[in-house]
Parts: sequence; C-alpha cells; structure tokens
Amino acid sequence: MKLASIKTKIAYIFNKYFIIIVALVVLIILGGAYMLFVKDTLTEINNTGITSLRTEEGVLQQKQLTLDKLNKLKEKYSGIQKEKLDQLSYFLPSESEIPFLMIEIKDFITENKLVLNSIESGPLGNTLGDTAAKGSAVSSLNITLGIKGIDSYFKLKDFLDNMSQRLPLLELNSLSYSPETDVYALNLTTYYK
Amino acid sequence: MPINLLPDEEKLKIKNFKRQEVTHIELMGPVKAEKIRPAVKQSGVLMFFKQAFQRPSAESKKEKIFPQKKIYIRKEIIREPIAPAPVRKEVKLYTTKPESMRMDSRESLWQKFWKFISGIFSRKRNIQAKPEKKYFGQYPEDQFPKYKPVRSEKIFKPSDIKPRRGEIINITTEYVKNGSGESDTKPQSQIVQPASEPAPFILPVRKTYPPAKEEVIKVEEKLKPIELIKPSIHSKPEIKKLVEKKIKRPSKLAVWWKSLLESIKKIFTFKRQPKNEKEAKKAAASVLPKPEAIKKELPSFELIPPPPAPAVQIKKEKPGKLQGPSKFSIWLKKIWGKLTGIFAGKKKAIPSEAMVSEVKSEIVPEPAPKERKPLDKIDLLHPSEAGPATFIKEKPEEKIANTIPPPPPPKSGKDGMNMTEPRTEPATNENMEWEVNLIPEDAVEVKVLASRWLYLALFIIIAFGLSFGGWVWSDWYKNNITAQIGDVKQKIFEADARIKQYDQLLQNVQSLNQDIQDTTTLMSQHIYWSKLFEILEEYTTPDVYYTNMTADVNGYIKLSAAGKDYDSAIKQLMIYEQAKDVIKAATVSNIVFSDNLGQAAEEGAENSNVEKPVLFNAELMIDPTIYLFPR
Repeated sequence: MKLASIKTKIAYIFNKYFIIIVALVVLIILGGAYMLFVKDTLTEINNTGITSLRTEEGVLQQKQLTLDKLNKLKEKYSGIQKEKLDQLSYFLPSESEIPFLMIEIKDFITENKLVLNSIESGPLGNTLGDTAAKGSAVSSLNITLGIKGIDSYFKLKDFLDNMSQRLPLLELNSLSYSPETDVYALNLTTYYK
Repeated sequence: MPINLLPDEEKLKIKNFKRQEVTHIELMGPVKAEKIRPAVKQSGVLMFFKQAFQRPSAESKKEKIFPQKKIYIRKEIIREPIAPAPVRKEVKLYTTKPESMRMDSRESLWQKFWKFISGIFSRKRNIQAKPEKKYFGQYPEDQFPKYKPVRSEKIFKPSDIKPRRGEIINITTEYVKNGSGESDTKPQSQIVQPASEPAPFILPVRKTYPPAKEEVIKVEEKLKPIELIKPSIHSKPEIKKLVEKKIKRPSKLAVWWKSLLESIKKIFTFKRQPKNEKEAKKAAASVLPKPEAIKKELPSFELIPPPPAPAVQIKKEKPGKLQGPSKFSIWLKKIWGKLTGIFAGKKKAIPSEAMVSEVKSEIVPEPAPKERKPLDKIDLLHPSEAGPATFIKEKPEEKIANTIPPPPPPKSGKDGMNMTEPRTEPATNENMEWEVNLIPEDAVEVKVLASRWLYLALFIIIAFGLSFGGWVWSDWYKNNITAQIGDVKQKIFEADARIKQYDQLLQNVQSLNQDIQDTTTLMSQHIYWSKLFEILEEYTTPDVYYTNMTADVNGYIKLSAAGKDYDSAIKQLMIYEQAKDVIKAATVSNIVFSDNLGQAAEEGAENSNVEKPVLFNAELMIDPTIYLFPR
C-alpha cells in the first residue's frame, strides 16, 4: 500500500469521524487527567481528610460540652456564700487550727465556771476509720480533760449539754468521776483535716 | 437538415443560461496569473466539448470521413500601444494547485492562524478549502509533470510604469486550409463579404476552446464562405431531432468506478442546501444528465447555431432598496454555520451579499436587439457573452480599417498578448454534479482542513484546561479540608486551654464537696450525753443515788450507787431489768452495808427495826444509739 493512499485513508477517516475523534480525544484527556491527578486526591480526601475532620469536630463538640458544664459549675461555686464556707471550716478545722481548738476548749471550760485540771492530746495523724467517708482526708485527735468544780449532778449535766451544742465536733467518748480527787475525767475526740 | 451536435447537457445548460452582467474589459497592465485559470482545471464536460470541437487527427480522418468538415478557430490578437511591463515570454500557468487552495509553507504559524481567524470574520466564506482534486489528464501519475505553485509576483514583476488603459485595435481571425499548409489570414470583412447569401445560422465559438498551442487548422478548399452574424434573439434555433440513439450500457467496472467517485465527491463536496424553490430548481437544472447516446449517423456536418440567449436579464436592485438581512445577521449566520458544520459534519453555504442580491434580483426583459449591420465584423461570441453589452466598440474609423488588410501579427510578448492560451471559464454553478467523474483514482487526494486541525487543537486545549482546572480544584479542595482540620484542631487546643483554667476551680469544688461529705458524716455520728442522763433519771428509784459513774460511747456504764436499804437495791435492779428498750443488760453486785451505814444499821437493829444503808455496783449495757439523739 502506498504511503499516499494510507494518508488519504487516514485523512478520510479523520474527516468522516471528526466529531467522534474529537470526543474520544477529549474523553481520553479528561479521563487520564482524572485517573492521574484527581482520583488519588479525591480518594485521600474522602478516606482521610473528611474522616479526620469529622473526628476532630466530634472532639471539639465534646470539649465544648465540658466547657459548658464547667461554666455552670463555676457559676454554682461562685454562688456559695462565704459564711457557709466559714461555718464548714469551723466544724472541720484544719490541722494548723488544732492549737486554736485547745484554746477554745479552755475558754469554754472557763465560761462554765469550771477548772481545767489537766489536758492531754493524743498523736496527730490518726486516720478516720469507718466512720468517715471514703477517700476523706479527715483525721482524729484524742483529748483527755480533767475538770474540777463540778459539784452537782445538774452542773455536770449542763456542762455536757453545752459542750455538745457549742463544740459539736468534740465527741465525749467516756466520762469518769473519781470522788477521791473530785475530778471529772473527760475523754474527747476531735477531727481535723 | 442541420444537426445539432451539442449534447443534451449543453442544451440544458444553454436553456437555463442566465445572462451575467457584462463588464468592459480594461487592460490594466499585465494580467495577473491568479485570474487565469489553468487549463488542467477543466471539468469533464468541458473536456468533452473540447474534444468535440477539436479537429480530428489525420489518422482518424482517414477512418471517419466527414464531408465538409469545417472547424474554425478564432485567434484574437490584442495589441497594446504601450507595453507597461516586460512580461516573460513563456509562462506556464499550469499550476497543479492554485495558491489560494493551499497554505503556503513559507507562512509562519502565526500567519496561518491569523489567516484562519480573518477567514472566519471575513464576509465571504472561504469555499476554496474543499479538498483538491488532482487532474493528470491523459498522462499517468508518474509521468505527469510536477508543478509547484508559482506566485504571481514572481511571474509578473511589478511595473514601475503606471498602467494605462489598453485599446483593442483589431481582431483578426486566422484560417488555414487543410493540406495546403498555407495560412490564410484574412480580415473578417473579407471573409464575410458575400452579403447576398445570408447565413442561416450563427457559429458559436467559445473562447475557452482554443487549444493550448497555436495549431494549424485545416480547412477544405471546397469550404464555402460562411456568413457569421450576430446572434439574434428573434431567430429561433433549428433543432433537428435525433434519428436514433444507441444506448450504451456501462460495464460493471465503470459502474463501480462511478459509485466510488460519487461517494468520494459526496465526502468532499459541501452541498449547499437550497433555501427556496427557486434555488432548488436552479440546482436541479444545473445537474446535467449523463450522455448515454451518441448519434448513430452523421449524414452531414453542419453547425447549428445554438439557441439564442434567453431573453432575460438579471437586473440588480439598487443597494438602497435591498431588504435583505443585515451584515450582523449574516455574520451571525456564518458563525452559526461554522459551529453547526463542525458538529453536523457538513458545511452549509452561507449566503453572501452577492447571493442575497441575487435572490432579490428581478428578471427584466432584455432590451431590444441591435439592428443588423453589414457584415463588417465577425462577432464570434459565446452565447453567454453575446448580447447588447459587447465589449468591442465599433468606431466609424474601424469600418474603414476593416477593409484594409490587418497589420502583421505583432511580436509575441512585446506589442500584445496572445489570447489563445488555453483557459477555462469559471464554473457558473458550484453545485453542479457530474455523473461521470473522469478524475483518476490516484489523483484524489483527501486533505484534512486546517480548520479541523485548529478545532481539534482547540478542543484538546480546552480538555487540558478542564483537566488542569479539575486538578487545581481537587488540590484546592484537599487544602481546604486540611485547613478545616487545622482550624478544628486549633479550636480543640483553645478549648483544652480553657478547660485547664478550670482545674483549680475543679480542685476547690472537689475539696469542698469532700469536706461537705465528711462533715455531714461526722455530724450524723455526733454524741449527745444528755440523753443518757435522762435515761438514768428515769430508771433510778428515789432511795438510790449514784456516787460514782464511768461511761463510754459504747454503752457500757458502771455506776456506784448507795441505797437506803437492801430492798432499795433490789428494787433498782428490778427497774433496770424492766427497762429493756434502753438497757439491754443490767447487773447489781457487791451489795454491802456501809460502815457508817452499818453502825447505824446495827444501832437500828439493836433499837428494834432500824434499816441499814447498803452500797452496790451496777453495770449497765445500754443501747449506744441513745448518744446520737439530742435532747
């Protein structure tokens, strides 16, 4: 076959199927470009990018919820009155406040016109047993008082009542009276944190 | 009887012929090569006519003896008084491809592109972009001379002299007797002298028929003088009926060849769709039938004058009266036609201004013919050129000049131009389709239009642009997603920082909560001793009093009591035992009489019936929950 006839046939085919050839060329170019450049990028975006974005958005949403709760808690904490907090600290003093507690007991005995004969306190750091709540940092302290001046049954009774009311965290574990010395021995337990 | 030798196609063509507007010939210097069409571009029918009017050779003459065979050729010699520019003597204009059909290889790509763009926006559509058909004539392809396109600028050098209008001095017709070898050049007036015998017909000679070379035409001695007159409109042609027709069936090879050529022609021919009935009829009339028969017998050879030109004349309307589409609409139609031609595969001809004016033209009757003048001049014109607007103007002086012998033929190429060069008339109807295509197969060359290449390149560029756009979009989309992820991470980081700010608050709140819980627990376990004393007061008899007491929060109470007498101690024991809701266990022990109390008791015993006091110890086990209740 001559070269001229081949060229003629090619030209004939080109003229006759020009639109199809153009469409095929365009499709090939577009398809090739999609397969080479666009497909991988889109796959990466769909598999990694969008998933990671959704995950991060979920985490951010949870953080926002936590922040909302913290904001509400902060509002509640700010709403607590200072007096109540002071009262709480009065009933449950800290360890550094133990000496002030002793002074307060002495003042209380004096107010009741009694004489503090002796006072003994046990070691610090006794953890609270089952009586305390789990996980609490509250410790107990044993105090033994020797009091004179209680000359009647009614006086003893009033003294014990006042002590129970005014010093609620001084628990009277035992009470003993010795007629020979006329001293009432009070074994007390107090709590601190 | 005169016999009309013209074939049916020519008859139909003459019948449907419409007079064209005749313009006067003005010789403005050398004729450019572009206007002269090469002879090789003659179509099949023209070649047929050429052969029909061509003088047969001596050999064929021996075989076929035609009595009184007369073939005339007109040789027009036009001299110019001043030669404007030197012209090459022998110039072959047989260019295989006209310049306008090909893109010059010397043009740059930018020039080609600009040519294409200007072609799109030009008024007339470049119809010459059809695939070219090579014609090799009787030569085989390998022996056919290869001609290269020659530019007119090379052929004709530009003249420095300002062109002047030429004048036609004289026209001579040269006749040569057959066999004598003597050229008989006579003026027209001498040839047509016998006015007593009016010629019954007109001899139409087409200008395109003269052979390429100056041939010696043989005319028999017995040739009678023929009177040539101007074609008259009123003279009706005498058409002799054909005696018999012999149908010649084509062979299978010819049929196959014909169908192949037709198919090729359909591929490379852009058919113009007729827009109205008038154009459709015109197109149908332009198609010439296939010459299927030849005359069987030719008893005599007489030239029959063709029918006169149709008595119609196309008169163009004035431009101001035209109500055709505007230029903008025509331009829009061109653009639309190009676009639709791309997708439809066919190119539709877009009417140009000339076509529009043609549609709007009117057919007006031809003006009255000129009066017959004495035979002082031979007007051998083709019917298409015959008419009132002939380009030869007669002057009174020429009548005298015609009576004298013509001047000697000028030297070729210097004083005048030899008009006997073979040339063809431009095709009057572009939609003319031939049933027989004599173009050889090898001569068919299918060319791909440059516009298609440009369109293909344009689409490829667009496709690449779309691909690039898609790639850019995907990259932008990926970057956008990445940026969004970064933004979300940044927001998460900020949220974590804000949450960390609440750590101290959380710790404080947690500590407070724990303190509250511990305090609540301790307060719930607080011990009240007042309840114990109430119980003792309740469950103690009046004859008993307590001298000593030891108690703890576990409920163990040890009491030292003194009773009035022994019975009081027993009664106290009984009371303790009866208070089972509070006192779970009670024991009384060491009941003894007191010393002091014993002495008194002894004295009372001595003094008859005096009770003695007793001492005893009581151990109680009470419910420890009583310490939890306040008074």
